[in-house]
Amino acid sequence: MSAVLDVLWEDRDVRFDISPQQMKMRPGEVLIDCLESVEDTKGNNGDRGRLLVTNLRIIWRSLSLPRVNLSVGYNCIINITTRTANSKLRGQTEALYILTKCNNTRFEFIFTNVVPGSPRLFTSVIAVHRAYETSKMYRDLKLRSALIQNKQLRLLPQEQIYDKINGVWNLSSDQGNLGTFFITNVRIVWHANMNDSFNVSIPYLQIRSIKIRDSKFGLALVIESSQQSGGYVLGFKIDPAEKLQEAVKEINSLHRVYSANPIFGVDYEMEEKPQPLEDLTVEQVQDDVEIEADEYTDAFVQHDGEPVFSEELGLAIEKLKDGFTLQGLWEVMT
Amino acid sequence: MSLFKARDWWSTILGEKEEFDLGCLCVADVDNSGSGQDKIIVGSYMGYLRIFNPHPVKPGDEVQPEDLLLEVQLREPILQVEVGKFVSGTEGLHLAVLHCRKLCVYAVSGTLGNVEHGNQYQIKLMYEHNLQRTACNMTYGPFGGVKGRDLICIQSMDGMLMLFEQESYAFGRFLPGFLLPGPLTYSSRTDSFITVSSCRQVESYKYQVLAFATDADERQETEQQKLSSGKRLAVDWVLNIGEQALDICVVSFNQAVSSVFVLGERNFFCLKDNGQIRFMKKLDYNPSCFIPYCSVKEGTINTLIANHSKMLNVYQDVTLKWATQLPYIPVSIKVANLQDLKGVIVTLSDDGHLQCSYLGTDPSLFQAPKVDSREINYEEFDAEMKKLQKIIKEATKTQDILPKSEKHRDVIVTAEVSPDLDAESQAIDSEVKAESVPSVTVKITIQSRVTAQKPNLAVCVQAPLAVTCDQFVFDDLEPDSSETVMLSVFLKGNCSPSELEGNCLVSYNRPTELNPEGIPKVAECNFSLPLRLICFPAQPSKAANHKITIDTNKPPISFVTIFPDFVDPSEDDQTNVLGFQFLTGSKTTLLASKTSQRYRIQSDQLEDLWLITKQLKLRLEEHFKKQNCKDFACTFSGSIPLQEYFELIDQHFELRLNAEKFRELLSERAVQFRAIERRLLTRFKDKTPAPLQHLDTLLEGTFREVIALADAAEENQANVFRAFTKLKSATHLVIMLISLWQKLSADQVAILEATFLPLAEDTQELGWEETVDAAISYLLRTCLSKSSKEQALTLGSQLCMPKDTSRLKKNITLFCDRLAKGGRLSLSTDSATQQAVVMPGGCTTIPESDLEERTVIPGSTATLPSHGQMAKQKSKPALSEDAAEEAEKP
Repeated sequence: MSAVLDVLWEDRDVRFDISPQQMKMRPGEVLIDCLESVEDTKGNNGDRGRLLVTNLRIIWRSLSLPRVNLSVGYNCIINITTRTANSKLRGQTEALYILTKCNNTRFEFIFTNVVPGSPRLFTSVIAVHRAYETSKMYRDLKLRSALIQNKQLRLLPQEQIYDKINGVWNLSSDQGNLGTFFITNVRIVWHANMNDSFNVSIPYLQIRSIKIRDSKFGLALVIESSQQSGGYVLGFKIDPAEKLQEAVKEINSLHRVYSANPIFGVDYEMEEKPQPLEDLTVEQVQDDVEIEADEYTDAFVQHDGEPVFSEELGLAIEKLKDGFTLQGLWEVMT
Repeated sequence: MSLFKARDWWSTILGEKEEFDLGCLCVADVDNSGSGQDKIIVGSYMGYLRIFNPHPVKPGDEVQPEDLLLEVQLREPILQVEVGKFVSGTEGLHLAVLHCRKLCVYAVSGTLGNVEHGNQYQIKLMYEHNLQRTACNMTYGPFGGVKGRDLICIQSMDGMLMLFEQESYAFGRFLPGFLLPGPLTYSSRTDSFITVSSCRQVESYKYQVLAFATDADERQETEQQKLSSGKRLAVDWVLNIGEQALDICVVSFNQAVSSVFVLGERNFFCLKDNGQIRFMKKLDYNPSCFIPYCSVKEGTINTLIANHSKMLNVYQDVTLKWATQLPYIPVSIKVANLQDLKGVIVTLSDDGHLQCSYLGTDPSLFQAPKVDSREINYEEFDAEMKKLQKIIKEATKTQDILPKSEKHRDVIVTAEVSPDLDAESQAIDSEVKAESVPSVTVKITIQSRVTAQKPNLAVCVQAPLAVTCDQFVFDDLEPDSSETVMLSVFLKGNCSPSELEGNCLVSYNRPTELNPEGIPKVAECNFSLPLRLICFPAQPSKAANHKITIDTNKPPISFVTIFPDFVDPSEDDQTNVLGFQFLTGSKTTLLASKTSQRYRIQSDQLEDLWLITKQLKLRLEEHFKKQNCKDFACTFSGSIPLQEYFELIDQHFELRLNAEKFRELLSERAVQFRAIERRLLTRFKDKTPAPLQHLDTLLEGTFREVIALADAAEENQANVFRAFTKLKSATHLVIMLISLWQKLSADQVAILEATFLPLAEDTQELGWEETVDAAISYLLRTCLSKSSKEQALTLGSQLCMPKDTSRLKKNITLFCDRLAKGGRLSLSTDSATQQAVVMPGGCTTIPESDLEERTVIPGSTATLPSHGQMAKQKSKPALSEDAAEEAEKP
């Protein structure tokens, strides 16, 4: 059950030449927009393609060579801008620049609309990315943030409270902290009764396991968060044991419901509905040609060196390669 | 643009659509953890206060949830956050949060749990001050030299400095001359507050002086009292920097002396404690924020300056040490020690991108390799390339961007001068003293084939001529429509014009598809005015001071034919002699030789010869053109009347000298007038009145003198104008004579005209004499030079009024002399080709020995080495006598 969610990669990864399986929408993922005649100006200049915008990622596919495609998760995007680019199909034209970072590797993508005068490319991608950025509470584990106002949980737009449990001890310190649970359709929130600022918000998306375990405080509810959210182990104690069982049961069932149909919180309404994704992907035929490891990835990679303190500048700098000096590098530049 | 980029060590995006500015970022060990590690404190205009403790496992790692220590939403917008020893009785660090109407000081404390995510943090309000005035910014420090405590000073939007001694309000003072709040800081070394006021100057106020000045709160009530007693808030020092400042900072690092740093909009200043400039750096970019952060070399200070091009520059004093590209434009920048890494650059953008970065040293020289192109058809591309190149070639061939035919298609303006003078003169306000000043009607028609928006017609004639109306504004013209206006031209000033021409110009907007507002365009046309406008027929006079003779190669033409408007056909005997009476009073006589092919023009004034000579030449040419006679030519072989010409130059120049004299006198008298005024004023202001000692009489007298001088100067100015018009006429005449004498081509005449008749106005500062002198000197040193040695001479860079005209006269004489010897006017710099052109001109080069020193007037009757030109001249005196005899006959 939890395995399904742990492999959520769509919004957190940049992948090239993905399989038709990976191109399918995962539960909770919806296709928001589909743009015809888009060129991947940097990687596949001169090639007409189709750009799919979902609530988690953007997918570009070449029309002539369906195996040539790429999937960019919104979480990897550092920056989106529109600038002028040189396209083989269109000459000087306005293009969408997307700078991404994934596993310490940077990729830059440039998409150009081959149909002149269509601004939709930029508006929908930028707006959906913005909607993704501003809805992180749905997907990210949060510690010590401003969740509580006047002892009440600040609800997210698509969120509903299912239960509120008082007298929940957080077991992260020796003496424990007495607090309150809010159980909603998106997440579990705990906050200390004495200090609103001491709290945790755990979306179901980031829950790896929910267990009842024995601890030095007796039976406790243990929630383990996913690796990507930090791999936290959070212990809570609810008295009496029946109440604990009840709470675990409720959380488990809500987690299951969520897993079947996750709420990612990326809310973006298109005026015209695009065709269902299946219609757009049927034409893909399995290539019988053996696909060699693409060099695309290596071409755009840039790794950062480790930081060290430089006495010369009084600032942290990237460690210099052997034989280089700061002054030498700077003089070359100027 | 640097090739280096800032490396992301840790970064996050704060909130949703929140706003941040300069004061919103602060780094300090705010929770007094004692670890020496800074925390990042960020306040936002939405009222969120956040404290971060970044500790990435690997640089650029994703933000871990536990990096956020605290996030609270306060009720009001946060303008500024600062950390200092703000609470009495403890030296622990506390957090001061400035809201618009409130100052809050919080204690930030942490309770550690068993695991990182079990640590809990809390803020506890220690004290708060409600503010009477809306706050702008604040600064803190040990005001008055207190030990172990920090006091807070808040600047309000209306210029009051409010001082708080921790839990209590101390006092408030208004800054003098305040308009808008600027950045504020405190210098502990001098115990003073430093700000940059709206007067664009850095101002320093001593804390002591502030403390003893009158209380600002009582200002209203004690306004009266304050005038007599009460201490005014005096500024300690002021330095004008001439621009607004973005931020101001006082630092003193161990080795370096304390300095005040000011970041202006265009410059970066470093000042000493006393306000003297230690250095300043002109910035060739638009800075956004800065921070002096440390001193790595004794006596210097390192500063980070970020700009709106997303560049971050590292300076050691004024030397650029490093530059790096940031992903965002920062509004606030700090340097922090975070998790075992010293010198981390913390930047905050206005939309909440918070980034901790280190300087990348691996230049991103890398460029994406070209991906293999698919299916390129080279033949097709070649063909397209050829086609395009052909089009480019075609396009560059035609020199004019607009095809001529296009130009004429849009709007055509035509001017038609009525053949007869107006029956009833339209002249108004003419200064001419004649009984009647005639006028002539000009009919101007604008024909438009397209839509012309905002058509505007301007008619221009050279003074002393004038028009009855010189500006016409029409409604938008429809395609194929026209407008007609009538106006009259007459002589207004009391001197003869140097040319009888006018010009009309239509400006309009031509709308196109891309530019509905219209592209501005113009159409113009010239028109000639009749001679009758300025003179009328009169009795010819026999004697005259100035005579010139024009030779032609055709038998003389009867004046009845070419001057029908001046000859009364009934008087037969007038056919070879004509008198012209100018409206201004002078007279010119035109004689035609009965036997030879010559004409003589004579007058008492040299300048009056010009218009008649020109008319004669024009009418003769026209006459022969009508008769289909193509080889008609005029020549001149007499002496160029340079001496007479020089007299006119001198007259003009003398008036200019007079103008200069008047100007000096006027300024002298004005100074005197002001001095007397000042003395009188002090007398009047004096509490014990002293006798005026006739100062009032003196004042009155000086005033009269000033007025009289101004009148005289004005009159002189009118005289200068008249003299200049005469000079212009004479210059035209000289140009014409030179061109006839040397048979110059049209190109050369154009150069001659450009040389002698500069387009610039004749003004006191830049007059005709120096302009023409410069132009002639240039020609003498280039195309008319004797040797390459002369060519090497360069002109002075600045033109100024000469002391006298001797140099100009010498140069004009030399100029004519060189032309006489076969010099050819040309503007091309290639002297070799000039030589080649000169040689076939038929003139053998003459040894130029002492000739030039004698400044011989070319064409004068002095015996000169004989060559082609001179031989002709010898026969000339006889001719002129002959013409004179003929003139005496009637």
